[in-house]
Amino acid sequence: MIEGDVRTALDECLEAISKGVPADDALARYPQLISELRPLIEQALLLRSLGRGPDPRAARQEADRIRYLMRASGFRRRRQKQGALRRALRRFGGAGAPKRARLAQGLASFALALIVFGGLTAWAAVRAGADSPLYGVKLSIESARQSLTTGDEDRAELALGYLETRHRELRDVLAGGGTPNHRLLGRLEQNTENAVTLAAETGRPDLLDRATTLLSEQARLVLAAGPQLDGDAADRLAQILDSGRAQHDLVRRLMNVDDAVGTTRPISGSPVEVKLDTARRISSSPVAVEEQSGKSVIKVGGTTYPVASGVQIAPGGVSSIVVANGQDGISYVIAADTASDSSRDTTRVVGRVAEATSTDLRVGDQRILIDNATIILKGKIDAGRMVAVQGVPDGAGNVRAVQIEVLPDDDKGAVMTYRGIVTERQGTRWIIDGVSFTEDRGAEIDLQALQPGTAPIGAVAQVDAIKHSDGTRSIRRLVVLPPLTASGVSDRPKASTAPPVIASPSLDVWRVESVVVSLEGPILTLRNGTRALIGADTQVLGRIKADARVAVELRRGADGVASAISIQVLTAAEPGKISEPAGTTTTEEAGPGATLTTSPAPSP
Amino acid sequence: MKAAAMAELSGVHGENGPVSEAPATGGAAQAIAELDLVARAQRYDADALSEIYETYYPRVHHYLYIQLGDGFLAEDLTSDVMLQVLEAVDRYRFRGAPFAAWVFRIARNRLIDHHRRRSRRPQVELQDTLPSPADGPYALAERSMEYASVRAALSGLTEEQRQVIVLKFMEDLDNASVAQALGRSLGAVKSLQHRALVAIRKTLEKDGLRL
Repeated sequence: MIEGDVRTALDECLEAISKGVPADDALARYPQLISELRPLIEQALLLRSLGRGPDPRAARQEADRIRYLMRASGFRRRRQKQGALRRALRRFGGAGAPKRARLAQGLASFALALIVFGGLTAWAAVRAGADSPLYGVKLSIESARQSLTTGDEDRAELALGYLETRHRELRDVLAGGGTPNHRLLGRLEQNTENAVTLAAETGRPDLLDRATTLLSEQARLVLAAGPQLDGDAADRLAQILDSGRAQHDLVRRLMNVDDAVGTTRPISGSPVEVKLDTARRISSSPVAVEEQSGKSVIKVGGTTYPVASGVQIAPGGVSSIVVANGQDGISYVIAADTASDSSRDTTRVVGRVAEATSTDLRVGDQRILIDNATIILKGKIDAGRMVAVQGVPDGAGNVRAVQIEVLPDDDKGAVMTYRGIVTERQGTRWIIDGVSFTEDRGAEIDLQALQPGTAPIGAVAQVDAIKHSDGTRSIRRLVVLPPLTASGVSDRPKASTAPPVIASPSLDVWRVESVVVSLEGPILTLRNGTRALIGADTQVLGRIKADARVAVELRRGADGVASAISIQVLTAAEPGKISEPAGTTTTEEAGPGATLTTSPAPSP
Repeated sequence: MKAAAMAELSGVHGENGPVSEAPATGGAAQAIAELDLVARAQRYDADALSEIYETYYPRVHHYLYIQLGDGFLAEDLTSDVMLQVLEAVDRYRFRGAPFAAWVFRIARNRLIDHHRRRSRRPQVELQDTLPSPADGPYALAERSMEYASVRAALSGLTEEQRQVIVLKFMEDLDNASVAQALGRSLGAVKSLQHRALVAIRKTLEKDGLRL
């Protein structure tokens, strides 16, 4: 047989199998090639059945996602404001252009400014206000300087400086009762974006904090300017501010994610880093703010804490502070609440975290929003951890967290084993026969019985979990069981290449494990009360006898009668409950065929 | 184990044949939805870009991990690939194969680039696996052995044969997509597939390995 025939037959067999044709049927189309094709197809299917490699770390994936979205946000803004001509020009020197091109543009602009206006004019131009005829020259010189600056930190410093300059110009224009012109607004937008982005790219918290302060200053300016500006200018200013804030929010989220990966956080403007897991709130009065050697310190009781630079101490008195140990052994103030903060209409939520992302949590039914101002005390927040949240309702049913404290978890709960059909999975939350479970930290989730890429919905899963006193259940181990096969349970409970028997999320198809009470004619009766019709198409694996433990997959027909799809005899006589933990047991029925057993948790 | 795999293949199906089928990668509706998604991404629609990220980040990571055997390195390169996808998405044009083919083409180029650089500046591998908190020690050990066998088998293949095996059998691309990702014809892909499977079988038999 020539190789071309085998090659074609192999490909056609693989194609048929991928469409659900059993391998033997696919091979039967090429009887003369079976001996040659079978081992190759076995090989191909085993490769296909391999489980996926280790997942990327969630924190890393989240950090990468934010970088990606930040970059996308930059593209989107540039696309919005760049016409075809600007896009063409950008190829010769925009922010995304190679350094050499930017350098060339910078030199050209600088040379042009010098040639056209002369050194004296250029000197005068750098002091020009937004309404000066030399303002365009000033902006050109700034562009040239920006293009000629190569170091990341220098570029960020320059961008922040230019943003400060724009603020000064804007303040001057507003003080004179004028309206900012389009050149000032255009450059303000560019400087705002550059300042935030370049500061973030340096990874220096002090630069990012400076950008944060400048954005706050810009917000104040926009607010103050509102009454005297016409609609267009006011809208434009607000738009620039929103855009800068959106970029800033992404940057801050990125920093938070990076924080979550480690346990320390740098203090802005200081060489020390604080250990996040030592953060604690101190609110005993009186709290006094003082200056010592030009630096702010806060005295509480007899202890003095230096204030980390960048921490805002609002006038009006401090009611409480959050301190954390620096790596130099000194406790620094990393946040301070004013008296007015503490008098806000706050709410407290205590419970177990069902889901956690870098921006929000779900505790019970309550969504908790986290932002940069949220103070997280004592450790990391993960699904399954007990937390106490102090926050402010946002009017949309959510709570904006001011402080989240991770509580010690004394609740050992009760060990439980549960088996049923997966009807829903959202993030770390699983619904199995109507019962909700949350993946605990370090939970072992075994999906190897699933075909790669398929969802576990409809599959039968066994869960080892802890049932807590608040009614929540934390998964320690969840195994999706392999579907029953003609050859019995696979000796390798993973990566089945056969389609799952139960593929519907509907509870009209379910699985039961119980003991046979009787088999009368076509009616099988089990100890748990299940009665099933055995038809000609029911697959029976083993001999059904009274007292035998069986696993039955059932389908409810349109007439409401349950018929058995397959019956597998597990043991000839019942040895005891399946998945029975030590200790006393209770049983809950939570859905068709579901059994749930609980017992006290073993001591650690 | 092979017998079990074959038995499972020939085994139980629902009353009306297989209950779930392999995703119809060539389905018209799916192709239209994908084109719509890409068109939105080309306008830098945040939701569309997020969807692309969520879909492809894990797939690209797996594709790179299987060939590098280093989870951390795979993460670094995946991050690069996703940024390259973002930067180039406005230049993507539909040419008959799914978007995945284009993404994996970028990933492959990044991988080749990495190997080229590393051959110039050899580096010491510090860790060859990335433990996942969801993995128990047994699962980790089993997975590690599996992947060691796979990597051993793949190492005996040519670069193109390896790409065909990884893209087709581990990333579930169809022949047309594999062809586009590699810049080869359909006939060449079929031929590479056949030769690769024969070579893998020989390698595994010779070295006494098993998948």
